[in-house]
Amino acid sequence: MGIQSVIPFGPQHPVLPEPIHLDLVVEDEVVKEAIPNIGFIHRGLEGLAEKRDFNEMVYVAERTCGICSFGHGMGYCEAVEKVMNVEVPERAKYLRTIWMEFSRVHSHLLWLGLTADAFGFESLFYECWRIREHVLDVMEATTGGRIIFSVNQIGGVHRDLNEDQIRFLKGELDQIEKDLKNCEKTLFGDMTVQKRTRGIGVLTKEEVHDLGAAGPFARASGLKYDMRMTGYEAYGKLDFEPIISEEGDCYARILVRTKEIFQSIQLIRQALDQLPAGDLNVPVKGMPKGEALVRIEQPRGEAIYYVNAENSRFLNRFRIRTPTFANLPGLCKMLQGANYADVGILVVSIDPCISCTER
Amino acid sequence: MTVIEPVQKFEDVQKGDLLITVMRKRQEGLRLVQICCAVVNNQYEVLYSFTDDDTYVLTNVRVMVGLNDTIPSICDSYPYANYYENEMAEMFGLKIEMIDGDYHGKFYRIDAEEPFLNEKAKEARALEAEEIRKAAEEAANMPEPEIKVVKKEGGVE
Repeated sequence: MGIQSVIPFGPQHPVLPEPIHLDLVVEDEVVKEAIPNIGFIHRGLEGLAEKRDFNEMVYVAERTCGICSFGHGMGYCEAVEKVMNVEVPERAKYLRTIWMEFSRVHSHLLWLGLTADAFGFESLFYECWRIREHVLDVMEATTGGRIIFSVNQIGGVHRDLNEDQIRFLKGELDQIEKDLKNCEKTLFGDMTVQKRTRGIGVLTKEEVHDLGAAGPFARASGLKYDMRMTGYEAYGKLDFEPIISEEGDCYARILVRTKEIFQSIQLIRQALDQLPAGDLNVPVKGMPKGEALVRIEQPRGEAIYYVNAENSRFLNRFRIRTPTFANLPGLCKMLQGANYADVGILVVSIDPCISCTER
Repeated sequence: MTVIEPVQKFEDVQKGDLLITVMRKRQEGLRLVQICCAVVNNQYEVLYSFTDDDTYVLTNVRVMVGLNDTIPSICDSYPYANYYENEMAEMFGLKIEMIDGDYHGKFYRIDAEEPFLNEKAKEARALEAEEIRKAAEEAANMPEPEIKVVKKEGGVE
């Protein structure tokens, strides 16, 4: 039997975009156990719900994370709208869907770059992030912000898209699609990518289900579960099917996320073509009273927003269950039996968003 | 695309029935998606949410727990519940027994004690603890009941 050592991974590590600490129990370069430690960027945002007006809380919810920002704002608004029985106008639903899908494209491109960087493919990292700049340009042109959009409000949105912006959007979508297709051959065919990702970190469909995993991480193992199938916002009027893979390794996760980018581009095009005329928001009167639980599909997976209100402008409770929190057990399971050299790519393969996890 | 209706159900259960209810959810193949704690009417309201991956039906099991009570861990049925339970224990001071992988209040490693439990609830908890302590003292100081032995005819007691 070899000698076991405990090697700390993080909170500062070149592959980690955000701080998380893992105690890796390693024996002869094989990880036997991984114990996560978090808390480096806990900000107590949920506690602020008791101290901020429920209308202002949208801005706090959005700042849970810079990458999933739009989704958090939208999820919070949907939960409060459900409590207050507010019906959002159709145009606002489509606009939310368009911005949500751009957010997904942005997130997946960011992740593709980080994954390439994790196995040392720097030029691919630069290329993915260069393509991502197109998305950020679109967000800045349409919402005023590159990362935090602040367009959601309870009752709808407060920014619109005019014809010029729609034309610009469509042009940028074409460019993103073209650039990503150029990268596809490298992403799926390059020997380096194959060697570092095929057969690494395999989880079966039963394992991801038993571990409570969510999002592309679970879909890459064959679990067909995508909250967009429930048709919230304008998704019910768009045509798509969840993308799944059966292999369950890191390569499958790259495949699923890349295909989701193309799928998101199609969804945005559909939404732009179907965009109805109408109001952007409805006035919201009174105070929220009651509770509601809303589920949406964030780029990293299913996110749950729970709101409990007692007829006051301050909520009694606001809770976000983020997808990375749900994927942590899956990460620990993947690390068991893995080579120490693969730890970086395995951690990145769940697309960790620690800001979301800790809130 | 076929839109799947996102049905949600709520079940209220007693603390004593929690483990058997959760075990049944496990046997039905449901996935635990979240555990949420809130303070409602000076009690902990713990909401366990389970989803069916095929029908997307979300079943929420609600348990009300006193501020000084304990609640059993559901890690036997759902091992990955420990992260949610550690979070509730640290943020709200909810006492959970037998968590598999207990961080003992150091999951987020926050200096503040029970940061999500407001002052009103802390006072209510202290008052309730005092009442429980007094009730226990009174019960301990009560004189033992006198047992009278009555002899019946025929010598049988």
